[in-house]
Amino acid sequence: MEELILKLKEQIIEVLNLEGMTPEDIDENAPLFGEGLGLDSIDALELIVLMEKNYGIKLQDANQGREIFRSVSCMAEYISKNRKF
Amino acid sequence: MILVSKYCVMRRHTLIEDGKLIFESNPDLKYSEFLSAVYRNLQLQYPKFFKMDELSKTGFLAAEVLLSGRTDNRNLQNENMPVYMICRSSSLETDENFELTTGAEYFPSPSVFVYTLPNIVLGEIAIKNKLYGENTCFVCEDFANEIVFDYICQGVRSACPNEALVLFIDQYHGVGEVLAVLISEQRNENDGITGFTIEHINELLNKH
Repeated sequence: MEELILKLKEQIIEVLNLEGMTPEDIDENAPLFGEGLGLDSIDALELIVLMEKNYGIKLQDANQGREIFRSVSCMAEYISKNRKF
Repeated sequence: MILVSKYCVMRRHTLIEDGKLIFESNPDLKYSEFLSAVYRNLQLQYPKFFKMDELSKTGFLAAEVLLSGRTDNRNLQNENMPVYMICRSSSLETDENFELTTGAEYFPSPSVFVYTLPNIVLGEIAIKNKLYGENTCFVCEDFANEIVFDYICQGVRSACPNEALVLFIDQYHGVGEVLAVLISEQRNENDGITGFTIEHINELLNKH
């Protein structure tokens, strides 16, 4: 799981253009939206694309997003259980 | 008469404010790297900057120079100030970049898509500076467009107070430039740097 969390942090930094940030700067348990990384709705769409493109996961229910995108740890846990590749 | 009270030019790895060179980068930097260098030089704290496309970064930085009160401690409180933008290449580069994300694998990028309209530059500036006045974007091959100048002058006269921010901006193929001017209606021509006319704007564009 630690390897997946690190990979996810790297992918998030890349797709969201989080300039100057390193994986160490991201607390995997901190909220992704509102506080923490302070992401917005466009970033949420980019994370949905990230999951589909890199792990073959299609989110069917928008309400699922609230729980999945709560933190990097939550994303990693969901991906590890549902990834297609 | 409508006069230019402040201006900023950003092009060819230089940033100029009211005729003074305030930043110059290594000419070997790519344009995107130059924009980041300007951001750091201005000591801005606005992480959303890094998510913008190059057109928006160009306009945003020029507006910051004029509106932040960084050099003249001006306390800008004109939330009704209109913002106008005249651009040559529109958002063509971002349009092309977005098209690339819609290829065979088909994973279109939402964060690239949101910049596929040139007037989002105006939105970025308005959000950052809490400007609620008119904002209008013109796409013209030539900045020297009489109809556009007439429209802007009419807008300034209608605004309260009589002041506006105008951007002449172009960005394509990894190269960008902008002339940003703060203009206002004045009775005395000595109250401004130069007149807001096609002739004087061309002079500023060609001077730097």
